[in-house]
Amino acid sequence: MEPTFFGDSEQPLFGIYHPPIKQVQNESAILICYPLFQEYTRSHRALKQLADKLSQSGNHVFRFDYLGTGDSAGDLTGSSIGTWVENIKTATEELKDLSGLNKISIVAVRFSAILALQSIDQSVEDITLWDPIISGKQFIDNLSDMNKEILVDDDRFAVKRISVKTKGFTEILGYMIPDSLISDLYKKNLEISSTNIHVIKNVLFSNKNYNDGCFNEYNTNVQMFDEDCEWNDFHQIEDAIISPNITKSIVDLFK
Amino acid sequence: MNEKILQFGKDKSLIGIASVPTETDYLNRPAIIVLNSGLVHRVGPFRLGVDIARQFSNSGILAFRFDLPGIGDSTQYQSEKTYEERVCNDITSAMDILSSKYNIKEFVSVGICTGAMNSHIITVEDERVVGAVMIDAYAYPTFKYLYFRYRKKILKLLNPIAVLRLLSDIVSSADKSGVINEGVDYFSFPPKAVIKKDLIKILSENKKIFYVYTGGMEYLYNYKNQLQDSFKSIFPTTNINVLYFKKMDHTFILNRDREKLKNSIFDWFSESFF
Repeated sequence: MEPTFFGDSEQPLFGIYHPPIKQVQNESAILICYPLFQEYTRSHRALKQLADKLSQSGNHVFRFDYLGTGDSAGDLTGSSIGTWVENIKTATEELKDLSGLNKISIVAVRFSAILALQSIDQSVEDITLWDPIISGKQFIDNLSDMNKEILVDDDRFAVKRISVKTKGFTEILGYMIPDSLISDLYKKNLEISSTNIHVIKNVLFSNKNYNDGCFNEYNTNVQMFDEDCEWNDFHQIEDAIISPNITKSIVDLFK
Repeated sequence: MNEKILQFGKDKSLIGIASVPTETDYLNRPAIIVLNSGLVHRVGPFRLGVDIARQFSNSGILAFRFDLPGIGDSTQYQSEKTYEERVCNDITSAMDILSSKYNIKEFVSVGICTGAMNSHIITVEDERVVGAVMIDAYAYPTFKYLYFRYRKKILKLLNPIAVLRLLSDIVSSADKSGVINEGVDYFSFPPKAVIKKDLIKILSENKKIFYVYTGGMEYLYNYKNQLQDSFKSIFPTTNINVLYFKKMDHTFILNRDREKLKNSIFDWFSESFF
């Protein structure tokens, strides 16, 4: 594993490159795009393990933190959907440099599905989506509902707490998110159409409830699993995602 | 932002990030090492590890956050050593590389939960560790703790109907072995006598400790002076500060709680080491 800071030296992004352990199998390198906010923390271990397995299978792999998240520079005040889409493009270029390959496959988890589809250019060969967010409104509404439950959860707090509004920000599940960013996330949907659907190689759902049927009219490979990642259960917001079958499926896709 | 990635330790399996101040004042002060909270990687719960590190480095203190083996991006390695020995080795490796690269001679370890226990371990074992911040560390029952924990049940014993209901609940909640599972596990902490011995050693070396307890640990620690009451022969001492944030949860999910925690840690550090 090779951790690195990359991109703008004033506001560097943090990423980790996993070189192939055996002879390179594929002509495209794999970029893993994390989910946002607490879903990032929950899935960190699973995605690191995915990256390890993919590199053991002979793939170049890179995973990175968006600006204002993880170990990357800044905080959410400097973040926007546009910034994060650019981050994916920057990470794509970094991976091309590291791997020497010109083609990139993206594995995008949750809201990153929306961001990844906006970032695609000619170098992106295909995208695999894991429990993609289809409606930004529903995503934010789910987070807000969980936030309300958390504040009165007596397994968490000895004394019930209330939400305190800070001007210009909304606090949701541990993150102070600028209202402008909340507004952008709320309005964003997974924009699939006949012009970009060909890029979506696979869609994997850990629970049928996450699939609203938007892929039905296309000939997309949609796989359903019975190992719910419980993204919307407030009791589990600090539990690590464990999804061995989805991880195995993704590794098999690149064999 | 001046952050550097360091790979170190056995087979360079450990990954950490040093937040290095732009001024060189940090050479005359201890550096802080932020340890993993449970299985959460070095970024910390709700990015708390990153925020603490950057707050300190922006104030002229070198800060380092890293992943222990098998957590976050650090790789597990084979070892015959005990857990405590491995933790000591790994944190020692972190201190060694910071000494080598940045000429740091003294350290303060910071940890939550298992991170607090690890902070305790390294503070006892390594003379370079001059202080520790332990958040929701060990806790031991006192009479007052037991009273606060069971007073509602005690009051119910005055009501016959409530007694019958309570007995019914006890019978139905007993596990197959017949033991009532209260969810309290004092056995995960070292024996109190061991901690007492450690504290005597730490204090004899003039090291400083900052304990923070939260209401998120209410089932084990439920009033302000429980630590002091548990170790009466140790207290009072100017080398140990204890804060109790009853309203806060174990991982500081609310931003205003994290701000208060960070500022408390920084204020303690400033008073202790500036």
